[in-house]
Amino acid sequence: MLAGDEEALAALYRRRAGDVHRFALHMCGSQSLAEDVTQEVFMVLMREGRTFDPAKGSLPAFLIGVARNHVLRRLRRERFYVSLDEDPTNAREGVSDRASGPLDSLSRNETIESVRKSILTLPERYREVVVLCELQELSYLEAAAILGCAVGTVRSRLHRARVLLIEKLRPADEMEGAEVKRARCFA
Amino acid sequence: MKCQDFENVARELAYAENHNAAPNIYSEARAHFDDCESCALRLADERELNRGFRAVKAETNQYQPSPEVEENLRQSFRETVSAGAYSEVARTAARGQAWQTYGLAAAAAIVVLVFTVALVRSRFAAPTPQTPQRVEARVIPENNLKAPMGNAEAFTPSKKHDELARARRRKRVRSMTEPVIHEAESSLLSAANTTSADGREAEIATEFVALSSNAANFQDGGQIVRVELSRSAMASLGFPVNVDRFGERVKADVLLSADGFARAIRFVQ
Repeated sequence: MLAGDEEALAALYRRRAGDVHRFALHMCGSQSLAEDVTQEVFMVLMREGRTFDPAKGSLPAFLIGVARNHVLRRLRRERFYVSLDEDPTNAREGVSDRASGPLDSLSRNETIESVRKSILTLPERYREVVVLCELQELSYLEAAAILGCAVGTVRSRLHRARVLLIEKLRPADEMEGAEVKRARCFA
Repeated sequence: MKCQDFENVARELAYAENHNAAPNIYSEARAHFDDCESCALRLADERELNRGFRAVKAETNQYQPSPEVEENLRQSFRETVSAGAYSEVARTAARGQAWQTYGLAAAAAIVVLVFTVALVRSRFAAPTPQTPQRVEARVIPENNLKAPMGNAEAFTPSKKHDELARARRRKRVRSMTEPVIHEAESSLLSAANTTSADGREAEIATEFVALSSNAANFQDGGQIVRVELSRSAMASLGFPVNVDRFGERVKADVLLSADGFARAIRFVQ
């Protein structure tokens, strides 16, 4: 690609763009912003591809790392703006039709929507570990390399993030009696 | 298993269940969450969360950026290539590689040069084996021993580095001869070196250099004889000699053992 081969860029893009795009989408919840970030990541690769050092990490980790930087920058820049009618579900048109029936589809869509919204409400440091380890299925080691922190930090953040998500996903009626029911036993 | 332990393994349990690979601790944990309601709820929550993640993953695995993104990238790439940026990049990389090659070659050349110089210096600086040579000497009468040197410049070093080299060589020769000259010898040598201490005109003398590798016995006495030698004799003993004055003569004290053999020599100025 660095030699000017357009097809090499296209092949690389088709292989890696999905991961980058999904990461950005899970992190920011906006299809348009995720596409911007994806494009920006590959522009960076075109401009500064020679700075990539395979000894420091894999190419997917490099791309996700660049995407993370761009996503965080965009989120900080645009935190004052409110998205108007930005529906992330518009990207999955036609995909949810695979469900067995309308009721299942509705239930499934509700689950997906609630999980996605819960993830988006997590603080960034918890959100990124959930996206990397749970949704992108990267190992703790790979996630630690991307985030630039220790594996133990990834593990503890993920544990905390899951606890937060469980609390967020719990139905409201269950929450009322939860304080009494969830007292820890010491058996 | 206690609740604290269960807390630590709840996520792994839920994960293992989802992947149909229950870990070994599963049976122990099951015994616990069958009895403990809060831990059973916790496990149910973990399972539910994993189900949610699975659903989101299955849904989003299909996601791809729109084709416009790829088209924009291709367009941008073509513009960059036509602007020559990539050829410049390639040229820079090639230049960098060439410089690396040159640098490595230069480093290798320097190493070879240093090694060669060190080898040559060590070969030329190594002392030639000191074979006892037969010195044709003209014996000076005993009373002439006290006479001052005729040529005061005889031992004056012409250059500073000559003196340094001489000192180095002398040290090396001394180290070679040390085992040969024993205590009896050294007493004689010290006696010979103090010739100037009794008020006569001072002489500058080198230290005695052994002429023979055999240990000499000075128990039966010995003798020092003042002789005049050609400067080539100095060279043969490893002393630096000015080539222009190679034909001149130089005074020396020869230490003879009781059997009449020359055992050591020193040069006198």
